[in-house]
Amino acid sequence: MLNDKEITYTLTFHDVIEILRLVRESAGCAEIQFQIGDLTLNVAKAGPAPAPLRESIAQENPNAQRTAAAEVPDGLVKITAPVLGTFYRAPAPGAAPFVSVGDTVRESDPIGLIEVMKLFTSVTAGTAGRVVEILAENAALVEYGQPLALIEPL
Amino acid sequence: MTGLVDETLRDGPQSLWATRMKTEDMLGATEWMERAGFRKLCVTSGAAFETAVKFLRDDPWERLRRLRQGMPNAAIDVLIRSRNLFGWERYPDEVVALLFRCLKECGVQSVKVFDGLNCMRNIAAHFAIAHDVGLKAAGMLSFSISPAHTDEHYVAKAIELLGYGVDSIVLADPAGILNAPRARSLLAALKAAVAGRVPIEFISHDCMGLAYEAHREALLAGVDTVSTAAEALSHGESVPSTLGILRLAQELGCPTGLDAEAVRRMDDYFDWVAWKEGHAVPAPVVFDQLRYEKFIGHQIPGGMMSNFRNQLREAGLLGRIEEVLEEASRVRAELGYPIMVTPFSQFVGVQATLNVLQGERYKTVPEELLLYVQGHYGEPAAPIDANVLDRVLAGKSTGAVDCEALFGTRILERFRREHGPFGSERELLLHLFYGRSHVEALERDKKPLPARACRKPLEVLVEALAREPGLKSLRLKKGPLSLGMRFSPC
Repeated sequence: MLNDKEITYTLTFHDVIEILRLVRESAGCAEIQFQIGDLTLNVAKAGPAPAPLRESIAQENPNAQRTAAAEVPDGLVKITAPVLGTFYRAPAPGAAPFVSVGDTVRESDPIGLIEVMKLFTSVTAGTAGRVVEILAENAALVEYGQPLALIEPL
Repeated sequence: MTGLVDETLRDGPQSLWATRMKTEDMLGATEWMERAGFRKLCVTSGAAFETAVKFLRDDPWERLRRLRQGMPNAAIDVLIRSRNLFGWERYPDEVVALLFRCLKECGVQSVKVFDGLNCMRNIAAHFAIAHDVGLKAAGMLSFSISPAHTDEHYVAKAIELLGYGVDSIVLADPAGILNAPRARSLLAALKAAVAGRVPIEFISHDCMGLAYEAHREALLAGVDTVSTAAEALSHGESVPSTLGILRLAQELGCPTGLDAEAVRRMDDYFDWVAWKEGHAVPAPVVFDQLRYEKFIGHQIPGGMMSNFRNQLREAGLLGRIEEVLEEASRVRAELGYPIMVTPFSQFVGVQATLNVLQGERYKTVPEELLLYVQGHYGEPAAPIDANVLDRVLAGKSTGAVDCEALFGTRILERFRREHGPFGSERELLLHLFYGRSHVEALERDKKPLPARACRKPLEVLVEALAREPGLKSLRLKKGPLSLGMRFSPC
């Protein structure tokens, strides 16, 4: 019994409350991804989804399929927030941003972090290409599905 | 070293949740509760037993056994209300003995006994009976503010308790009205009188925002224990929080022997219970002199006040509540300043309402109050007002009632004959306290408890998400564990 201390520690009941609260209160969300320590959780909601959603969406690359055609200039791909929270462009305060306009990124490169309840989820580019525009400001509150950056696929 | 007595399962739910904490929820953190290192954990009372049977349909005996199982090395404590025990009538010694024996069999180690009049003759026998069955027994002094409740009064009561062989003396402040100066003088007087013969324990509620200043004095006075509860079950009408008192003890340099990490785990769990049950977590109360002064007159406890307002509304008297409360202050004084706990708070509140409603004082007097003024419940701190006695007893067959006459009577054999047979002595007690219909409903409706009751956040999360409506699928990965769920559309 004693040695399971470390196992339970990464997830507290407070985290559980926050996760359930987010699941319940994010009415417009079709899918939410949580990352807390070594725990990864994807929750897909039933009912009318704001964007068409494929079953396999979060399996390998949760962000790859989240491109919506609307409002995106021809030939560009949107990177959207996988979860609601605070968006950070750099891995730490004062550090260089993950990406800047003009940078070339691979599919798996991180372009930012989203913080929920002091826990950080990495946002990956999802598409190999060049960063054309960064839409979300550093430390801004972003909603699920909100566009964070535009990529020109290469 | 000051020990901490945990009241998360007893005082907390009774003061904040109308005593409605389910057994299953109580069992979820026993591992941490035991490891935290509390001196004792008070887990039940008459109110908890009654609510378990009548409302929650949880078998209160099974609750005790399961708590024992979950905390095999903890010292489990139970609060006992005078001669009422876990019921509402006054019961003789043989029922006290049977109850204590059953508690002991379910793994209880100690009882703390109070009488709402501080009439210790009512509970004198409890201590010897407890020792006979192998329980430790604390005697409680219920604090009140009145011309009769002086430090000398409490010293005399403490010495009386010592004479009955108590294992410790608990100074309890049910209404949270003990401020720092009074706590200092009263505790000093008690310490001097008790002179180290038994430990002194302290319980104070945060209703008025005085709990921390009172606890500061208690810790400085070197009391042996103070009572606290997990954050979600503390403050407001309840006791202060364990971590709050732990911080205070650290600040004052008082060692407590508590494992703060285990306490945090326990708090984390009970925050979850509060959240899933929809209970708000009360904030610490800020002291308000005006509110305090108004309260001191009547001392009607917060738990009763909400019911009382409802009753006044039904009687069309809500607009006159201030008048009723002033009358309650007068009635309380005339009745000899009973401690405003069950049933005396009801006596005072109801009589004050009747007096205002009828426009004539003591025109109508409830039967129970008639018994009270005749001495059926024992002796109050101050004599009952002579004019009130005359008016209440006018034309009635008078003569003081010997409140001790029933102590030696025998009721169990007859009860068994008339209402039995019973499956066990524990079942008999439930029948005696709550009646057949409730016990049968309990047997019919109670649900089996999970075999393994300690809860882990991950399993709680998965269970909650599995029950969550409107989900399509979920996928969870944690270390080597991987879980996928797909919900059928409904």
